[in-house]
Amino acid sequence: MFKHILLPTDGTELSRAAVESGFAMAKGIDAKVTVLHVGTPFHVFAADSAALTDTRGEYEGHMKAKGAEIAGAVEAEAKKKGVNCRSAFVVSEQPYEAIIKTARDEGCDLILMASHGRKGVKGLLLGSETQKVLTHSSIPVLVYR
Amino acid sequence: MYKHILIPTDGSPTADKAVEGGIEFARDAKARVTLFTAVPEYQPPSEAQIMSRHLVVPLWEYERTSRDKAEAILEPAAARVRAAGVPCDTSYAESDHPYRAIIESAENRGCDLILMSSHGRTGLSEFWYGSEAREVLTHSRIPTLVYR
Repeated sequence: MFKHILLPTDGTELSRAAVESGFAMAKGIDAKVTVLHVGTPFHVFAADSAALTDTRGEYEGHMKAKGAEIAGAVEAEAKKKGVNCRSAFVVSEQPYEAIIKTARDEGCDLILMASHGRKGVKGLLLGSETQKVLTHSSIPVLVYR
Repeated sequence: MYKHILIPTDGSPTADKAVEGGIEFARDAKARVTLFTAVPEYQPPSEAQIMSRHLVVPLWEYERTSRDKAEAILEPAAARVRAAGVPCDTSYAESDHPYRAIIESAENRGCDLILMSSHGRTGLSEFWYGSEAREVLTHSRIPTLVYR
C-alpha cells in the first residue's frame, strides 16, 4: 500500500510530532520515509530577523545550517527507530509547491503533515500550507494533529 | 500505530476509492475498520404540509427506510473489507451535518484515524476536497487521511 511517505517539516513542535508519528507508521507498514524541509528564499524586504540583518550570502548560510540541523536531528531519530529515512532540503517561495513537487519526483505515495506549521495563527483551524497541499496534491494526504 | 480506522462513505464511486485504499492500508497496518455513513435527519412535517394533506412520512417509517438506506451503502462495502481479511463493523447516524456525525462516531468508537475520500456525492471535482472532507479536517482532533 503506502511504500514511501513524505514528511514535510518546518521544525516546529507539532511538525516534529507529525514526523515521529510518521516514523511509527512507516515502521508498522514497512515503508520508507523522506523528510523534507523547505527553506524560504532571501528577501530584501523581510520581517524575519535573520533575513533583515544578514546579507544574501549569510542568510543562505544560516538557512542551510538550519536545514541541516533539522535534517540531522530527524535522521538520527529515524536511525534510532530503525526506519529507512532520507532527508531533503529545498528552497522555495511556496512551500506547498515544493512539497508536492518533491512527493512527485521522489515517487511518494503519501504525504503526512501536521495540521499547523510555523505560520499558524492559532485561531485558524487548519494551517495554510496544509490547506494548499490538500488543495493541489493528487497524492493522499494524512493530516496529523 | 493506527489500529482502528473509521472510513466514512456515502456510497459514491469516489468514496468507494477511499474504501479500497482503506482496505489495503488496514491490511498492511493490521488495523480494524469501522465503516460509517450518515443519512439525513427526519424533517417533521410542516403545518402547510399537514393542512394540504400532503403525504406525511411518520418518524418510525422514516427511521426504517433510513436504516435500509444506510445498510445498502454499508453492507456491500463491509463485505469487501471482510473479504480482504480485515475485521470490520458498520455504523450509521441520522445527521444533517455528516462531518459532525463522522467525528463523533470516530471519537465514541476510539478510532485513531479517519480515512476519507476528498469528494463524496456532492463534491465539485474542480475543488480538491469536498465539503465534508474539509469540515472533518477542520474540526477533527483525530488524524485524518484524505484520499484522492
